[in-house]
Amino acid sequence: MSLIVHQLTKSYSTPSGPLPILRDVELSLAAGEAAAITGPSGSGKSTLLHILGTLDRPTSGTVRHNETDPFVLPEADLAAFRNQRIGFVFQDHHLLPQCTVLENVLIPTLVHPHLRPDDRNAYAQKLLERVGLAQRLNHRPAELSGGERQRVAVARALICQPAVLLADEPTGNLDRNTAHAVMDLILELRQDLQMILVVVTHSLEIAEKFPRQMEMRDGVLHPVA
Amino acid sequence: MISYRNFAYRNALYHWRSNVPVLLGVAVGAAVLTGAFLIGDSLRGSLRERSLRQLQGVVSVCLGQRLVHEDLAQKLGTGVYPSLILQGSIRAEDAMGVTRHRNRIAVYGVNSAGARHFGLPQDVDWDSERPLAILTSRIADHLGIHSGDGVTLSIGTLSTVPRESLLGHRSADEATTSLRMDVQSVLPSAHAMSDFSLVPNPSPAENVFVPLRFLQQRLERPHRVNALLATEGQAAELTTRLGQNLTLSDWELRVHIAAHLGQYISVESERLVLDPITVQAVTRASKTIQATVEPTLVYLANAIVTGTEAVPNDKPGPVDRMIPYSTIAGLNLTASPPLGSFVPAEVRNLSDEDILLVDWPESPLKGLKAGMPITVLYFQPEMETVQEEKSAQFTFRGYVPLTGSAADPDLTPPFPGVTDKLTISEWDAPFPINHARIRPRDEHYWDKFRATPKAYISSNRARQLFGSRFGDTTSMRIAPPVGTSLQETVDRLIPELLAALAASQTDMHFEPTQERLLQASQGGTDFGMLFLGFSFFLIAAALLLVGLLFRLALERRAKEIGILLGTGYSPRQVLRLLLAESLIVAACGTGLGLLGAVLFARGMLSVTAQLWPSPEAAEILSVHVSPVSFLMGYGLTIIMTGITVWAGIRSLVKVPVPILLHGRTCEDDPSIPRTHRRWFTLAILGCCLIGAGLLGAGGTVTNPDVRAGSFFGGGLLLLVAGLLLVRRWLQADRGSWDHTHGRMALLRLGIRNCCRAPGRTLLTATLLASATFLLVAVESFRRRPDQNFLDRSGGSGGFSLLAEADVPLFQPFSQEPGRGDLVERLQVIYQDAEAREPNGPSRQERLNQAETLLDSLEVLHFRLRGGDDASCLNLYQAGQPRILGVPDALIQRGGFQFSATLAETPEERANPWLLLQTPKIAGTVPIFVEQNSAMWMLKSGLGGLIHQTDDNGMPITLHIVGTLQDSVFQSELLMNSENFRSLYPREEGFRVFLMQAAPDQMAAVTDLLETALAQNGLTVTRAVDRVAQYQAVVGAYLTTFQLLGAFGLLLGVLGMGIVILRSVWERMGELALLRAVGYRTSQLMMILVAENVLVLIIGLTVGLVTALLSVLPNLALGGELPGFRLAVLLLGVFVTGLVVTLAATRSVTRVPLIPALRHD
Repeated sequence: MSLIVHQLTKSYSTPSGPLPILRDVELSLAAGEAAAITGPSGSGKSTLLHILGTLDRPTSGTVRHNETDPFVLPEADLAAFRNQRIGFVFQDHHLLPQCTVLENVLIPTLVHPHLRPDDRNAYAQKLLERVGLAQRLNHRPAELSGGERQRVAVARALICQPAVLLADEPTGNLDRNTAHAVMDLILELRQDLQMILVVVTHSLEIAEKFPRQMEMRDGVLHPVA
Repeated sequence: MISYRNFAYRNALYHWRSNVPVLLGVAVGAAVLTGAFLIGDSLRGSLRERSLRQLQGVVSVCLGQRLVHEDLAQKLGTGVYPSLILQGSIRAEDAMGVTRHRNRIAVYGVNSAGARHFGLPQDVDWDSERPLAILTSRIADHLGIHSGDGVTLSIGTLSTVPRESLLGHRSADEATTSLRMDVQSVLPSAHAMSDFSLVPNPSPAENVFVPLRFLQQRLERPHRVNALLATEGQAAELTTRLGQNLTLSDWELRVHIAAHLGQYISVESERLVLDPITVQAVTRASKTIQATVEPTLVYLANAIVTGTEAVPNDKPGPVDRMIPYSTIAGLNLTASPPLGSFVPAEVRNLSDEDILLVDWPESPLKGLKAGMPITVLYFQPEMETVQEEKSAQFTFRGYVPLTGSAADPDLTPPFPGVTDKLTISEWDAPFPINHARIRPRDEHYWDKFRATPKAYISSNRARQLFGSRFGDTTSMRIAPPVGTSLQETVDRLIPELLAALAASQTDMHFEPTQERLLQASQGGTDFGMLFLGFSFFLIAAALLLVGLLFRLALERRAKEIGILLGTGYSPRQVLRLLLAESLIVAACGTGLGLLGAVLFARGMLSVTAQLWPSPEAAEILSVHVSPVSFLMGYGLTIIMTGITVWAGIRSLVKVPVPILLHGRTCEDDPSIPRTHRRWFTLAILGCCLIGAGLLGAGGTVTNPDVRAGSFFGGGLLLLVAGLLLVRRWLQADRGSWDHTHGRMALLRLGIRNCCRAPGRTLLTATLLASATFLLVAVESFRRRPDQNFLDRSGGSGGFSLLAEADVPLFQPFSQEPGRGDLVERLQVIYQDAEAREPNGPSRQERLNQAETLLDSLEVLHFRLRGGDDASCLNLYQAGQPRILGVPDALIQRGGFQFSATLAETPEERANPWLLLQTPKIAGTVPIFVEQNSAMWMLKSGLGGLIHQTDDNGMPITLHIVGTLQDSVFQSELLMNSENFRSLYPREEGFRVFLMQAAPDQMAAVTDLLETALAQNGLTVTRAVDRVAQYQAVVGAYLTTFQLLGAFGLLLGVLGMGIVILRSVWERMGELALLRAVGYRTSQLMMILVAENVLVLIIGLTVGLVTALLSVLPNLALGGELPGFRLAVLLLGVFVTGLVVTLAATRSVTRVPLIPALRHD
């Protein structure tokens, strides 16, 4: 599995002309690799992550997931691709308040074409056990702490066994200790599951946990020495 | 456990707070939609109930103008009751001497068996000849009478001989009779027979039941009835049995051996003339028994004179060369014995122009030479309004010896009052006899040879001259086959004849009355569809509200949609999920709505009944439900909700996931791209131009419906243009407000806020504008009689009064001798009045005044074939509409207002009435119909064909060659009098009258005619009132439409309130921030009120302005707009909107500052 970004640009049209967000971004990650992207607000970090996760489309350049360009896929296939190949963790957990912890984790599997109900339930429970929430399966999000909610969000991101896990400020809403715990968990899981992990963060402390660190400045991705 | 299938269900449950308003919105939509179907069910169900109640178990009826023997009822089996059913009027005098009368009364002659079956009071001897009457309470209440009081019943007498034939008795006194009756009892209104009626009409029945025997005796028709009411059996089966049991007497026929010669059999009719179908039946029957048959037509000549001078009947004439009042026979002159011959030996090659005179000793025309001209004077065999004398020229060819076949008085059928009189002078003839012409020689001939013809002409010529719509044969003379005696021939002929008649005569049959009424109870207008149309806006408003509410609810769940899309749900899957959720809510809401539908239907029926111009609607209409309507309402609501929700949320799943994950559903910049702006401008201009064009074109159209339609369509386009303009304005670049301060700045900030969510603002404004537009524009459809209504070219044709009689007038009162009859009656009435009021005007003064009034009247008289009211006042389907025979005078005169005609020539275009005289094309009869009756009641239009039957039950096709507009003739079809007489020969006399009277004389004319013609049950109506009543139905519909539109407007206001609340909720943080920086609550409210009142004003203004523009041309053409009512309505809407706005914005004061700031 690999994730290769080549000459990626992204710009938005405004009344005063195109506004470039990303300029000739180059990035290459192999299976099991993890990278942290830092940078000031508005530098284009989240935009890059959204494009990597196929939530947004590039203006030019290519993104290849294991030699596949997802943006050539029709909309329905692109959604399936995202469902089966990519996991997302956002700054906000975005858990559905009407569902239990276990159900929230299972949400992505509801549209997965191949997972059998028994298998997915077992795997969801395993993941929740792995993130330390085995006792909270039937709790509602409102009954969880911030860290717990984010751990549920991590489990949800992993339920379809994605090849790529993308996290956008996953610890932005958490206190320092919780943030570290959650990030350690994500890194461990990445190691266990041999996923590509890309995390966008403002926290240099968090970024330092990653073997590869990059900085986004004015839409250009620079490696951090 | 969660699954894709139950995910939507769980979402629906979890978000119940936001789904409840959606559910209620759906419930409103379902209630209105299903309610409309239930209204249709209710009309049908109510009419069906009414039909079954009014028939009282009668399933089929044999009702005709032929009188049959009452014993037929028993022969047909159990459950068949004989009756005499007549229409008449009733009057009674109260204690103060004031006479009250009631027209359009149904009089039923009933025997004891019928009375028992129908539950009539049994303390009456129904088989007696006593003048007892049982009245329904409606009549008794109107007349103010009780059991034991006396009433006078006026009904038409029954005449076998056609009244409009030569020997028919036509005077008012002969055509009507007044019966003094004792009221035995009054049927309570709840009594089943109070509603007894055989016709589909919602008007309450007003019945009088009298002993059959009494009626038969007073009408001099013992044992005869005109109706057989069957409560059992199929109509077809009963008709077959009827055919098998009818006797010659029932067919009004006589078959006898001609007594004088004793050589042939004569078949004659009690009506004097054999109708064509009977002639055919006799011919067929004779052929079957191999007998020879000769049709014979004998007629009365006023005079047979030598020369070519036509001397009128009232002049003495040349008595020395004239034979007065003699019969003339038209037959096969060369027929073989015993039916002929009548040709003298020396005469050869007779033509239709030739005449043979009988050689009798005292003849004044003796010694004529062959070839001399002879003139025959005679009254027209069929009178239109007055008896006209005609003449025909013949060539004398010879004398027929008064022996053998020619010496046969049996050639002339017997006619009571003429043939049974000993002298000519004693004739009781309904035509004028100039006694000065009668000489002793004529009496001698009468004394010796009775009605033996004095002249013979060919059959063809006789038919041309003396044939009429009643027939052209007075007898069928039949010679027995060789070797068969006369009596044997009679014995064989009669069964064959009865069989032939039964097979060919279709007017003697049982009609499946119950089936017809149940069919008619489907309703003239489909109320279901009508109310569905009326409720369209309300349903649309409810659905828009549903869409808005669901969309607002989902906007609050933008993050949820974002996470679903982010975790790999395709937009379609998310859409399906949300749609499923909405459908679950819709399913529950619709269920609730079905309960509301019953209440809605009840309410709307109640409103309709209140608005309906006649009170019977309230008595009839009640709520009826059918499972099919519930199913349809349920299914359609779900489908429409699904479509609305889909249209509202499909854009949500196209919002970029990152934006959704931030809890937003739109980009920050909602402005229209520049390329789209051009299209916007073009669309606005296009709508304005086309709309203005339609409005302008509407002003040039005369048809008011087309005009109103074009105004409405044009206005609608202007409305669209106005709303597009609003959208354009909402998304235009806003200028800065930094130069303003204080309240003005706050107001400008509010106005700018109004543009933040242009979609919502536009939706709210659209709801308000559309409702306002509908309320105002619909007024342009409201119709009153036009200003030119009373003009010759208006809806009244220039006739200010319309009258209808229960019993026909055979001699119209506008001319002699009918006028003489009328004056005679007035003399009697005024004599009584003079006696009652000795100090009042004298009889002569009153009479003079009446004569002056009658002189000033212009009257047209119409023939009428009774049937179903084809106007929109009749809730039933008019399966057999009333038909009017239009007099030639009207066709020549022209006038009235037409909606459309098939006129082709300039003459027809100038006077479309000429179209009624166009020859029948492919057997179709040209007719006119009022346009609304054609469209709504007959489901047809110009050029359409309507299938009916003639007097003989034979199918006929009527062709609509013109549609009248705003006409007094909405209840009937109109055909020319000639076609009418030919198709309905048994419908005699005139029942409908149009009269032109000066406005200040209308009341006096009404009083005069209703008094003088009370025996005929004449009711006079002002033409303007008649049309206003028809238009009141349209008014009732429009008011209902507006009422439903007002409900829609309320929903619009409700939607606005919800949008305000949602807006406050969304901007909680922003508002808290403004408070944190020092804004007072009142200032925040001012901002919010400004932005929402602006939406209210925009909606009302766009709707009002475009509606006013659309009705402006109509107003310029003299239309009216109830400005005050509309102003109050719109003010009410504005105030309601303001209250909703204030109530909703007050919530801003309850927003806690700190949590709101944290939340944001």
